[in-house]
Amino acid sequence: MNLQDFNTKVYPLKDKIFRFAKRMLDQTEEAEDLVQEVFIRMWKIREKLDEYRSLEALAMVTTKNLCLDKLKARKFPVESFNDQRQFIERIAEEPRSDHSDLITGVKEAMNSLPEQSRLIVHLRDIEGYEFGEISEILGMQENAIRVALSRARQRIREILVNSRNHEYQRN
Amino acid sequence: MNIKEIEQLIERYYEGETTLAEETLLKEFFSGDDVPEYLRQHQPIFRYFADEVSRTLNNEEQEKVLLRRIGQFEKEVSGSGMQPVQKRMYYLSGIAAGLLILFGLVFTFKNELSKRNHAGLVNPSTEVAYTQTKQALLLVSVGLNTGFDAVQRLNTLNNAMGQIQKINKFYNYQNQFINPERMQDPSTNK
Repeated sequence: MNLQDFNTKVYPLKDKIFRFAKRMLDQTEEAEDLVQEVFIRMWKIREKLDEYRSLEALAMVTTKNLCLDKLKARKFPVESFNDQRQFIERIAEEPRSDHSDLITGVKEAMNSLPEQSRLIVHLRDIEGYEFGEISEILGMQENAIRVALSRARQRIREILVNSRNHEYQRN
Repeated sequence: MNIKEIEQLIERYYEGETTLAEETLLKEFFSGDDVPEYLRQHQPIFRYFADEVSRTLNNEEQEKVLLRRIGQFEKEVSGSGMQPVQKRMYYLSGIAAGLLILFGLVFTFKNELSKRNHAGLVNPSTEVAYTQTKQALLLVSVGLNTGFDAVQRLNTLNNAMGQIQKINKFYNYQNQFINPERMQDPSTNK
């Protein structure tokens, strides 16, 4: 694989890699750095890239593994200053609407899921991967993925319903 | 698509039974504004997913760094464009150097060996052989001389025997003249 192939086949994956890394690391800057690391890894094995059935799956697996290494290396859970800052800025700028509030609720519900379920929902509902591809990326059986996905979706719905009920009660 | 079908899709969505195409339909439906009130509770979920997928590596600086990195890749690639020839030259020079060292070693070894043959191995052995042969020959000559002495003694014995034979002859003649009968006996006559 030469540079041109690399630019047309691997480079466009940058956003998916970034989103997946951000989902796992919950930290924008680290996720940005990780995109580079994934590209460097992929470039180093460019001679062998043609042998892989799916470059995208390979990139996502590489992303997952690098993120797991990063998470393991963390001594203390890093607070996502970046995201907090963005959140505060958004609150300051935008008039608080019901709508964005509810979407933030979904985000919080996602974050409360166990890591594996969170990644399954991310890969399926945000990135739109088939079950086969998710199975390849996460190294899980397809059936287990279906079950976990269904539970996670229902859990998100539950959390949203509960929080809404709380709001009603407060009001 | 009527609302009944949407309702069914939503149910199947939570069961994890919808296909990707059906999920796309749901996202499209909930991104619109004509969502009936009783289905609004599901709207944030699909809106959130749609928001997230539009999140890109937006940071311009990051994009630049990434492109610079890939630019470095390009240098590496243009460097490796000449690589086949360079690689071949590299290996050839390596082989040549190896052969040179091998020949060098063989020649020096040969020289060293022949030098040793001249200086150390041949000279002492010939010297030793020479002196040994000399000694052996000396021994033979000495032995031979002693032999000659003995042979000369034998000569004296021969001379003595000759004289004794003269006495014998004298006895014979004496017998002939004094005792002729005995002369006729062939066993005592010579």
